[in-house]
Amino acid sequence: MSQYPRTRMMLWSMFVLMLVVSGRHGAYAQNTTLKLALDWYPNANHLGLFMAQEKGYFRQENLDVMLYTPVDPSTVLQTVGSGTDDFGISYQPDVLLARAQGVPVVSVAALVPHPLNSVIALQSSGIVRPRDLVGKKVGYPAIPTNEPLLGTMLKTDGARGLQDVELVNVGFDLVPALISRRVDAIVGAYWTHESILLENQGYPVHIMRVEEWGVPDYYELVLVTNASTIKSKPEVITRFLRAVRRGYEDAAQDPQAGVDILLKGTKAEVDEKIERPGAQLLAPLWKTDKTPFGMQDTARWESFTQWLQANGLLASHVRAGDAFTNRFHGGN
Amino acid sequence: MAPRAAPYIGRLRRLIGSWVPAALIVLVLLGLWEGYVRLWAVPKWLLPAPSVIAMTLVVSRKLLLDHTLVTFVEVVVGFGLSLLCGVLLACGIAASRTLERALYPFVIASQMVPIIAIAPLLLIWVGYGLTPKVIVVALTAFFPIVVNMVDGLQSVDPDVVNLLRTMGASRWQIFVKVQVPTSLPFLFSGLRVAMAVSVIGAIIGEWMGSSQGLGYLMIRSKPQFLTERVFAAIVVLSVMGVALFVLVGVIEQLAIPWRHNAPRQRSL
Repeated sequence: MSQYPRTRMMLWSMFVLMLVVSGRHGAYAQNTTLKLALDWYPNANHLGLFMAQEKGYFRQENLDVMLYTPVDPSTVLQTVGSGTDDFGISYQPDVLLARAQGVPVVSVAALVPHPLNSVIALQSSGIVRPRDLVGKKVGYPAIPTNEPLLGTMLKTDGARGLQDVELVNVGFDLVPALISRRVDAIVGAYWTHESILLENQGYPVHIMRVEEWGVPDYYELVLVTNASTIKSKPEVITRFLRAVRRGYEDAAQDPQAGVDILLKGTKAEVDEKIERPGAQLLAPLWKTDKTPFGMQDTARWESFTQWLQANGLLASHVRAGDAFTNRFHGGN
Repeated sequence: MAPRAAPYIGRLRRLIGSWVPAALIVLVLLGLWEGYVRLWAVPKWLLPAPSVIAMTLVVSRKLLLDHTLVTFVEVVVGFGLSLLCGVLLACGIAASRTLERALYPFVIASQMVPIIAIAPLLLIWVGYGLTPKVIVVALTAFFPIVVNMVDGLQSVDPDVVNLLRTMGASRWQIFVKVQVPTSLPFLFSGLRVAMAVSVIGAIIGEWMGSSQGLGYLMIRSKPQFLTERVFAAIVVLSVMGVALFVLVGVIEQLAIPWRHNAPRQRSL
């Protein structure tokens, strides 16, 4: 080596230069760290996020995104509203209810653009339509919005309404309540999750989708952020949503590859036998031909807001237009 | 009348003396809380001011009362059940060494079982009515009763027992005339702890699955972002807990008056 002192010298100086440059790079293009609170344990609904994470779409936007499940997922809107979390996953009805109480949260993208919530009964019960529930016990997780969902379904099918059934708060143990026959049906269960869990346990089920029985179509899962973040860091949100969109486009193309990533990242928390069929059911919902993924429809927000207000669950001063924005999708 | 009333006035004065510092602390804390919320304009969904909570207590009094009665029944029935089981178990344990060796480990082990994990299963086994809440309350409350009562029954003066034996007293007589009176102060200490945890037990039971009660009202109000109503329910629950605690103290004074003739400072 000693006969090439100049080469050695050059190599060393190049190495030092590289260090300096990369150090400068680190100092100037500092990654933005974002915290995203999930609505529940990682599952098929979150495939796009985990794909964006694994495939480096967030990193390419200079974002370090931390996806985590809060100890109590029902507090997502509070932590986003108070600025503790930058983003959160929540539900369209909850965003409206939160805004009614002054929580400054805004939906910036639809992650699951249709209701997943449904009424599920065991096939052996013979219940195939809402009318069959009259005089029966229906278990639900004490989430107020589940009540008018069931009420509207009953009325649409010719029953009088909620007074025709006995609603039982069974906490979040919907499936055990149904299997143990403590209740005849459950509402608040996803047709992409609980139904699969039940069939896997050897209980064939009948699913009644809410939007097929008179409930206006709505967004099951939306991505929310704080109103002040929209004002102060619009460019970060644009970058973040660009990565999320790429993730979900991949998930729509190849949901099973997404499940592989989910399984790798989360291990024991995830039940592969539920998530694989679940992802297969979700993928068609993520395929958006005309509009970009995540874009929200004003008419859908408005009709659902009116429905909540007509059912006395939402104060009349809440305006649908304030609760969401499409401006990070290249829209208005 | 006057000379007989004197000790009562003295006691009243002591009672006021013991309550004033606590009341002052509460007032100062409430003032700081109110000031903080108003000064920093904390939104009420995040932390409602005491005045807002007080308003909610007034406005929603009917709603709160309905749910309080449900929780009250759960607490009282569950507490009664734990009293019955606890005292019987304690008597058995104190009466027989074999029973003590056989049962005590299970009594202790029962407290290591996380109620939060068991409660959802209870609901599936026995349904969603009053029963699972009563069981949860009884499970949390019976332990301090058993432990204190056993200690009480075993803390009799052996000389007294020997004396009575030489005088020909039966085992039953010794139990009724010596052991039970000796154990009563211990029992009531256990009961006060049991009463406090009973209220918590009822709320845990209601959180797991219910259609009424203060715990239900709390989990219903949270997703509606009615934080002030959650706090109002907590206030009512605290008042109920303190009232029941005081009630146990009053019953104790009536049941074992000799204990209170002894000079001793008591907070409640």
